[in-house]
Amino acid sequence: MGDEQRPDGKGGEISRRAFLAAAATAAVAATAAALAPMQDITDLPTLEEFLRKHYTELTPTDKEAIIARISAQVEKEYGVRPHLTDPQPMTGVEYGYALNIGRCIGCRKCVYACVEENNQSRDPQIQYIRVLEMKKGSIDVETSNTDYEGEVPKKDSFYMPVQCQQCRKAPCVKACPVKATWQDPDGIVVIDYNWCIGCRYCMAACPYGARRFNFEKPMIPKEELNPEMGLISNRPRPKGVVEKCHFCLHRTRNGKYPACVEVCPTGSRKFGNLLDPESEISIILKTKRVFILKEEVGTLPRFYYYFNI
Amino acid sequence: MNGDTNGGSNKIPLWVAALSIGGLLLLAVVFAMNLLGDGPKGEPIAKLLPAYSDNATVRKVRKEMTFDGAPCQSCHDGVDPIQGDPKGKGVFHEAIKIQHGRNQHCFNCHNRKQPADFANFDGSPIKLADVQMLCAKCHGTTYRDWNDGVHGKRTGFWDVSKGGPKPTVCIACHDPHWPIFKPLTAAPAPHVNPRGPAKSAHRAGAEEHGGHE
Amino acid sequence: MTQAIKDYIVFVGRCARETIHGDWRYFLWMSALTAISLLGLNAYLKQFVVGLSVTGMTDQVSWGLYIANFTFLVGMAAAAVMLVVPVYIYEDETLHDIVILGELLAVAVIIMCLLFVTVDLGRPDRFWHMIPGIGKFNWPISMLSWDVIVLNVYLILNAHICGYLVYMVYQKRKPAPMWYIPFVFTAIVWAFSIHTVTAFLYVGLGGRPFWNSAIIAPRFLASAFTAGPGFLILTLQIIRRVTKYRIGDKAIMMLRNIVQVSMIINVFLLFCELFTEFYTDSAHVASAKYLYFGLHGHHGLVPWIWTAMALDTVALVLLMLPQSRSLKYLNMACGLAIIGIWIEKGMGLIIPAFVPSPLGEMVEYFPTRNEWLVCAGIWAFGMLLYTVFLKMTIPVLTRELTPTSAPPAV
Repeated sequence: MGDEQRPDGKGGEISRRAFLAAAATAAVAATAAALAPMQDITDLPTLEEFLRKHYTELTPTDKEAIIARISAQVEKEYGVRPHLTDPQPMTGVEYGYALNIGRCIGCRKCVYACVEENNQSRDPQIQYIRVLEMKKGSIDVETSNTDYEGEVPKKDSFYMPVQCQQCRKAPCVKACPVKATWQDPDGIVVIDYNWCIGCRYCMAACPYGARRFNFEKPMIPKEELNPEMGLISNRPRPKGVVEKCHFCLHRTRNGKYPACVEVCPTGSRKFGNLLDPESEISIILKTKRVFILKEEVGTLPRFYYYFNI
Repeated sequence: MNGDTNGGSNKIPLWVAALSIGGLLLLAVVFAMNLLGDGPKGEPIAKLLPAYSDNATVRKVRKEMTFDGAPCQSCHDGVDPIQGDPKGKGVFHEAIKIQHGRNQHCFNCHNRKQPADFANFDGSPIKLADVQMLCAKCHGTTYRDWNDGVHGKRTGFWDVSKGGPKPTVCIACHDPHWPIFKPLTAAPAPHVNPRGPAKSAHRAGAEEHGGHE
Repeated sequence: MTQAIKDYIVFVGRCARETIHGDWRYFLWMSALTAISLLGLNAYLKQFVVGLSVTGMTDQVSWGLYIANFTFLVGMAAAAVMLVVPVYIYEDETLHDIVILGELLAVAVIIMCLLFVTVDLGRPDRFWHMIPGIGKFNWPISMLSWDVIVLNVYLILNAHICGYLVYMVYQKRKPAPMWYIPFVFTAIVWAFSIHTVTAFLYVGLGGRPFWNSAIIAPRFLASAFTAGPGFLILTLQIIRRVTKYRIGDKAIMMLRNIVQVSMIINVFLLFCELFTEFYTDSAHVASAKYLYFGLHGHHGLVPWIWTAMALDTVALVLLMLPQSRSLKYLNMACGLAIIGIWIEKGMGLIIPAFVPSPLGEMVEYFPTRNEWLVCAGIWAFGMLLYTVFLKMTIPVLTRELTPTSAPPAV
């Protein structure tokens, strides 16, 4: 029966009820204490963020409100009022990119120009572009090396930077369970950072290792923030979402070159409108020895590699 | 698991009670005081230097032809064609090292009558502002590519209707006397995202500990 | 109608009451599981606040221990329902009640799967984006969307079947075939589908040659049907020991047959894979080389995979010997097989596909303590759920808990 604890009981026992009462209290205390880490949380989503619709379903009024909200957030956090826009794809334009591996010397200026232009996290370090140092004689990326340093180019090596190839048949677009990533009509594969659930299936699917994940809230030094921002390009991303190269669409959809093209000291990077026969990219595809990476996977990328001649 | 049909024992031994309740309370303390800690931190990542993404061309392009600050006219009257080998004339022009392949002769490029200009095949002058026509004398295919935008750095707008691209002139990257593109120092190698040592110092074996504990 | 609902609520209440009655072993077990679950919860909240950097995952190895456990457990959930086959297809009535125990395991395990996926998400607050109609569901193109559907439907199917059958036993009514037979047969087919769909998640990726092979799906099923029934063999003996529920050796021997055949198929398919990779020796076998022999100086997974192979071999040999009819050797074989297959599926399947990365980078993966705690927490919570399910249903199945039985002694 429900006797109280008897100090002189054989071996010492307590009643089930007493035990349950004490254990339940202890369990509740332990559960409450287990929630302790939540007191440090800083970036819970607001109700508006939680309920926000997919980018393709936002009305212009929605977008204005979102832009105003994000601009205010960025100003509060970084002390800089951004110029946040939402440039739409231009009609009659399909982007193409070509990279001259006969001229690339592997200096990595493209990598860091991209980091600055696109407000990528410095710590943890996100870099959209990965430069591979390849040995002459093979284009198998497994023989490559990404941690070379010092003076470049090195003897008997050539350099192949890799970034998102904006594939026409993108495996990441197929993989995403919530359609957070899709190909826009101008060819850029974009990501809605407010829709991505962070499952990282797209990262497993990408044959080029082009996508990056925000394992933490990105750290961008205030003084290095680029205030020229695009809603689905380079405005500061939240923790837990995937990002990647988007051909600097806040620049390119306004007619400018991407940051990597502009900074390249050897002029190895070429960009333009594939539908314009006079653009440098069209001329390259017509006249140079062009190839694509991992052709056998069938992704039909719009990023081409070529040699000088 | 059916104690009530096991003979009706509804007593819990003291040691079991102590272990369970004590354990849960201990856990509460561990959580509240974060005794388990937060795990190891990643290696610090160095700040970016402006040089890593410096947009400037590797050479500065001169606006006018001078030598040591002095205009060419201060020594050359521009009337009689210059004769002889500039290297044998004294301290001027001797220090210029020519590593231009088979192009070892100064007056292949420089104009004998107007040293502030360059020389076309027929001796007519090519201005500094049109220096690409000089290079095009021999590097025709490169000039063709440069014109098309395929060779050399271009900045500005890919969209012609917005202003179009701004090409860079040959000598912004190539020293005319030693044209080969000089090696640069590579910006730092990438870190593993989110953490891990930079993949620079050690090769094989370094990434064995890349994920930390 | 209202009386029926009232009766059901009383039934649920009485079942719930069973969970607070037990002997000291039960309470000690539950306390331990609670403690481990809370450790997992605490570790997960740290991850929720800071981000997934508290795990060992990287851009290069973007899936790790969570998805490895998820994959293994989907297999277990599928296999738990395989008990159903002899009962309903071969109509072996003596094993009828065992079916419920297997389905209850399937329910607990599917919940663990869903938890593993949830803790792996970067933005769990955006889970509603996956709900068809409310979010944006990339069905039928994305294999993950198929997985979401099949897993949730499987959960509902099994919950319904157990719930209905147990309630009928409690009410001493013969279950109406319409309410469970179609569901049972659907569940049998569905069990195959959940694991096939999970396999197709990996198989359909052209950029990962280690996964892009047709043999992955059959291997998944073979290893699932080894580990799942193996786990059930062990669990049924524990239930037999600590409750009054009578489980004959016949059930266990039938499960043994399933484990035997599945293990043979599993090992054969493994051999096929090894031959294909290493005889061809093309550039595509880099991941397999990394797994079995190490690559470019990195060999973190080599001891694991060879241990798994050894465990699998010993388990196979034991299972084929007549000695395994004795429970002592059978349990040993099952234990070895489960551990071997857990390693094989987790570290032997998920991780190597990411090493080397698609760009040839060698980044290895080592789970952090936080990750292990979250995993242990989910496993403990799953076992806690299963214990609760059993505690509620066994008294019904032994006909002790009926609408007219007395409440348990205080």
